[in-house]
Amino acid sequence: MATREAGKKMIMLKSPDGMEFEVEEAVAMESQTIRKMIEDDCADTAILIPNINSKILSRVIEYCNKHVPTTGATGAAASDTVAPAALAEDLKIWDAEFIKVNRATRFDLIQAASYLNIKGLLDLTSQTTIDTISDNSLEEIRSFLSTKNDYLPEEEQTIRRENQWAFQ
Amino acid sequence: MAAPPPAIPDDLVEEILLRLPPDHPAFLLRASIVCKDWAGIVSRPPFRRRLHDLHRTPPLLGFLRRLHELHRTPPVPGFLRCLVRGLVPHFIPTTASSFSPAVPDWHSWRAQDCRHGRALFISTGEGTLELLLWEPTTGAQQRVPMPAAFGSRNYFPMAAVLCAADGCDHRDCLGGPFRVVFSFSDDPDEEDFDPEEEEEEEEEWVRSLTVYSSETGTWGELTSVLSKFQINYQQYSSLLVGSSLLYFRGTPEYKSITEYDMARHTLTVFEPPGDCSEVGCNLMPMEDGGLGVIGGLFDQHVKLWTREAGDGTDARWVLSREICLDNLLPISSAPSDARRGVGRVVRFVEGADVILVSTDAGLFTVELQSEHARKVCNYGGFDDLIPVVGFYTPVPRGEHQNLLALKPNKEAGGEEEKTVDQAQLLFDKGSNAIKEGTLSTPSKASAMATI
Repeated sequence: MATREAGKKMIMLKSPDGMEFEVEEAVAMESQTIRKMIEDDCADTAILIPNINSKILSRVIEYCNKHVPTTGATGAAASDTVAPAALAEDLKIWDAEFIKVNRATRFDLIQAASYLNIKGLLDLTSQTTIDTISDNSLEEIRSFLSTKNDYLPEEEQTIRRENQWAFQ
Repeated sequence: MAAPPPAIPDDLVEEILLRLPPDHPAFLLRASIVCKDWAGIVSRPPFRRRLHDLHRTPPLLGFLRRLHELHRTPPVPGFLRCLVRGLVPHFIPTTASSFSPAVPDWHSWRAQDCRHGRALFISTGEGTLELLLWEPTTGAQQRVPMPAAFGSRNYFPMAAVLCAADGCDHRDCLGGPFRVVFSFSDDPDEEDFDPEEEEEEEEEWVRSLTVYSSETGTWGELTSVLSKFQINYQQYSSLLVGSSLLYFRGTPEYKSITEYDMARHTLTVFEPPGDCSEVGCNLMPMEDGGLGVIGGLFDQHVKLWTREAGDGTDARWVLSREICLDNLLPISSAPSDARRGVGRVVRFVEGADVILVSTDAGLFTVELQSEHARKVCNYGGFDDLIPVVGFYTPVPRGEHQNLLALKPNKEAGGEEEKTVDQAQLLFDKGSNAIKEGTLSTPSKASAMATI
């Protein structure tokens, strides 16, 4: 059951491995998937988050906690005292630290962000892979992402020849 | 050593590839060659739809050039025209990584319009005239016959293309049904047709229009309008407002705007704002669904007029906004050189919702809400540009061929952008000479030469 604590509405998130996380509703609603469940009144009891283990879920909650639009106890927006630019810079530094995880964890986070529909987290967790695709040769991309090339050499040559502009 | 890193789970690949910057079409193309699964993901229609959802406004991929100026009468000698045509690219890429589609052979086809991911060309030369639909991102082509009503005594054709699917949001409608709107002038039958006379009081102009449907493969009924305003536009651009109002405007010396109401199949001709002929007259849609006109030279404020609806022909223009570009663009306060085509609002870019401003420092897009400016081309003097707007996604394997077989296209794009700088000087020289010689209303002969 959703509870109230210090005037803030709380909500319970459960991972499939049995862990429970009590979070502010506003934090949970950073996830568009959860927001929709709450708005559709499907979230009276604790919400089970399938396929996301407690280790990943706790990291997702950590991210949402940091990124939820902050308001102080008095209701004054944090941006009243801190310049928005400084706040954004602080978040950027925090994000950079947050994403220093191994590749398996990053893919788990992408999967969680995708299921829970958290755009900022998806953007953040995808960025390393995007940078890899943007900055490297095809061979390097395949090697870095452990993707097997299943094109015949002549097939690949044909596409390259038809689209020379993409390889200049 | 650690075990080999895990491959990206398939269901996440789409999430990641969606986030490749749309301003770099090459990234998605390269991603499609990583493996066949990836190629499948990026070439499916839902992927295009999701790109729209995520990135909202599609990028300006580049411009097609209509090249009217090269087909006017001397002073540029024929051999120089050929040289200039060969050097000046017919597609000018504007994305961060150059997108260079294989534009239909410029010897045979001249660009007229581009909308909803489809470009329209009209054939050149002496043979039977034809129209050609071409999708820049897929390369698909389809020929369209000219309307039978357009005969040897009709002139100044204007054509526009648009998606014909009902209620379409144009997010994945490539390859779908389309319409071609084709308009032309009747032969002015006065014996004393005088190209030097811009507007004679009693002179009236007949403009006719018909619409082609790709679903029926036929041209519809002709509609005509008799107007006291000159509508024989030598150069023109079109704008779709909402889903059923299509506007054509000529260059500022033609003091008229032509409106085609697709729902009613009616043509109307009306005047642009009185003083816009001095600062340019570029059509743009207003948020309330109405029509606006924007114009301005860079050393002045850009002016935006909106058309306040009245009863039928009683609509009037109201100056609704002035925008100062001084702080947005790296331009000096030197007098603008409008005759060279530098230092003015060139047009509104439909779909990308930006205006295009040419300056001595290059071509810039300016987003009017945010007033954010971006340089898209180092050269600002190009004339008569047709924007190509849309998300690029690679074509599924095996679908690279045209819908209809065309003769081999040896002039396909790919290397053209390299020649921009070389062409610039030559082009500048040629077009200046042309403009200086042809500021008066073009003759009938040269009007025919533009098609």
